[in-house]
Amino acid sequence: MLNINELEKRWFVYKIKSYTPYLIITILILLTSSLLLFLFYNDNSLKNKVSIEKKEVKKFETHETYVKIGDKVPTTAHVDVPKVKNDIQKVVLQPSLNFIDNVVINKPETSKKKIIKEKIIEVKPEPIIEKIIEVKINPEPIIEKIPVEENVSLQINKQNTSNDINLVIKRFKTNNNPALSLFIAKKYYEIGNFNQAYNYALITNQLNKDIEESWIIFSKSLVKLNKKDKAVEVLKQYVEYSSSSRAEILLSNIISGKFK
Amino acid sequence: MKSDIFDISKDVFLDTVNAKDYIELDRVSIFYQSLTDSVLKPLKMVLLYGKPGTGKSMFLTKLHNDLSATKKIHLYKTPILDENEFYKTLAQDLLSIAYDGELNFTQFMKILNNSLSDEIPIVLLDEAQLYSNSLMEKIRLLSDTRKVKFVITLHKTDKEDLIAKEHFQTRIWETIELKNSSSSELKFYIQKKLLKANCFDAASMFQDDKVNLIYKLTKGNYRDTNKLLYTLFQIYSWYEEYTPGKINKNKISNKIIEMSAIHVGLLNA
Repeated sequence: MLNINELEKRWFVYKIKSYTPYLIITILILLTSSLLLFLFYNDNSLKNKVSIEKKEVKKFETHETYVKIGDKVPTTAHVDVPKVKNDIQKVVLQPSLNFIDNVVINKPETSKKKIIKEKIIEVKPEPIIEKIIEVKINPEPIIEKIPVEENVSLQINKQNTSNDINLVIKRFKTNNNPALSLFIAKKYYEIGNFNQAYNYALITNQLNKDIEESWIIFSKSLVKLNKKDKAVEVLKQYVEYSSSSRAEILLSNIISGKFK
Repeated sequence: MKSDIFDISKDVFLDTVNAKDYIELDRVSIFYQSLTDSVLKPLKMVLLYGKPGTGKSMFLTKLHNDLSATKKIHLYKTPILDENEFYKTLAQDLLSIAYDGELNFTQFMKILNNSLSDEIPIVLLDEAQLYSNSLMEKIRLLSDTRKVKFVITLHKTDKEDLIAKEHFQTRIWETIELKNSSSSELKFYIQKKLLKANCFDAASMFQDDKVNLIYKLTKGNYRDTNKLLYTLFQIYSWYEEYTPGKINKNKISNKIIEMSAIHVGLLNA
């Protein structure tokens, strides 16, 4: 007499055994494909990071970019505080943004508010309008919100200007972008390091002789270094070459002694 | 009285050698005709070989059954391993001489050579691989007298090849190799067996895919197929009795085929 129940159990074991190789193969294929996808994704994200950095370098060149990058901070700060924290983390991960935010923070508060208004209107018009009204009627909420922005800037302020310049110098050394060297020259000029301002303006001019701003910083630095004659000479040559009105005005100011 | 179709179908596949159960497949019929022709030719020996379960015993039985009415033919399904007993049995069956005492090879040869019979008797020896080399050699010498004709069956193994080489290579002999069936032959075999027993419903349950699975498991071996199907119908009978809702009577279940294969040892579980 057959023991059918036992036979059914043996059959079940047999079926499991027979499917095992297919199961293993399927799992292996899945694992391999997911690993490949992961590697591919990682590779892509690295490339994206590099491209983002390159884009940021370009953004330094114009004033508009400050506004665009700064967009994220105030909008999220107004709408959702935890999100602001997330954004801060993201900002921390991208050193170039720190620097830009720092620059934004250095601007007067009134202009900052204006920027905030513009940004809020772009992202979520209705709630932002309400908040703008609140700002106008009760100054207190503004005071409450400003610290949120300050929180954002708190992390950014950990880096001082010289650190920022060093960061940009590092990046400039890697890619020799004249926009970066010009930026460095300007920053040095702002903090009164005219020697370095002169040097970086000179480098910028060597990289690209058509940047008006660079020639102006170069000439101004020369004046500050008590090399007025050389500054006049350089500016004259540049005015002849480019017919720049800004250079012309600066030249006349230097000659007349308005710019010292 | 059998209760259901599965019980009746089960008995169809009992592993017995019976000439009435012989199924005429095209290829097998050709072999059989070839064997019949060889037996009628003036050959000393005919060798029938193949793997176990390819139908060698059935062939000998069928041949014996078909020719016994017209020829002097003797079938020995079980080998007679004792030499003395072997000669005494042959003397008794072929020459109708009964010996009480011992009968050795020399004495038997003398008796055989002195026999005056016109018709050469045919001796069918099944499972000849069980005979000793010495006895096989004597069988060869007996066939040389042309007073007796032997048809022997061997399993096809290395050892049997050796026997064939040593004993039959220089003799006038016919060799027929029996092989396992093909998938289509197996379907024909199964269905014809069931139809012979009037199990029409059971025969219709064997569609091509089911037969292919059986073929995959048995490799077309008739004995394995019989064993597998016997167990299969045994399992069906059990389900029919205890859980009839679990079985489909329109087609054979793969699960039950596999369960049968596990039971008879064709699958490892």
